[in-house]
Amino acid sequence: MSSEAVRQGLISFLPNLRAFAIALCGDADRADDLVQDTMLKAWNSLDTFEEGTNLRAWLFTILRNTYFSECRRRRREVPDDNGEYVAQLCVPPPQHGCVDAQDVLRALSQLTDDQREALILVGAEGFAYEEAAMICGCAIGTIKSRVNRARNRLSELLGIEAAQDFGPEPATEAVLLRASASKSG
Amino acid sequence: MPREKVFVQPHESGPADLARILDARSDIALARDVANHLRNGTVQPNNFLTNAVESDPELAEYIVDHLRAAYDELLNEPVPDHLMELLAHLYDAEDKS
Repeated sequence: MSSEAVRQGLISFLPNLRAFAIALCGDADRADDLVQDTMLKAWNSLDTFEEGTNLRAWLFTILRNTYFSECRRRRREVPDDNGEYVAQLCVPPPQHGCVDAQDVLRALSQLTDDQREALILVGAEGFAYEEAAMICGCAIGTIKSRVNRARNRLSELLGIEAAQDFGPEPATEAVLLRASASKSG
Repeated sequence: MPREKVFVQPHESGPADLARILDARSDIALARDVANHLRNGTVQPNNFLTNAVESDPELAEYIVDHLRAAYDELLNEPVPDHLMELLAHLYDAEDKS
């Protein structure tokens, strides 16, 4: 594959690679290092990329493998040894029916690594299950169950267990009910 | 010094082992299928929402909407200059060689 084509691919997928890296490791600086390593590895192994196959999936595979290799190296590192960070993550969203991006990202960080990557690849990046399975090096059924478990866990962490949990807040609902009653009456 | 003899219970091949073997075989078959799909460009779009059998589909949709909204915020963050500079540097080096 020509270096120009890969360069164009890297430029167009750079925001996605960075977003995936941040969502995986939860730290923008570390994510930038991951993206940088991914770019260097991709550039140095251009000859292993099969032209006509999926460049985006190839780049995501490199990033994901780099992340997990780094995690294995850092296995002994415990950044939150007093549990303060985790305790902070356990705080439910303050407003009923209101979930903001930070809540979602905090909840994402509490999923297991394999659930988080499966959910991001399929749910946020829109990869097909087959592609996500290829990237993660596992069976399609495994990806499906990880996505399902991750989705359920995310709804638990966000404090949403049923559809009525994310309807209008009680005060708004009461106003709406009164308005519809007065209209029909 | 002679080594102490260690007696190990014979490994019983039960249903769990069989499941593991079958799982490994199906993984190989699936990996082959995936490779074929990717090669032929016949990958099906994921049914992330419609496949939400166990959970409430409305709830799944709500979760994924928020996941995408949060992810979009990450996507829209500006890419740091040093990454773009690195890319330009790699490209220039390739060009010169």
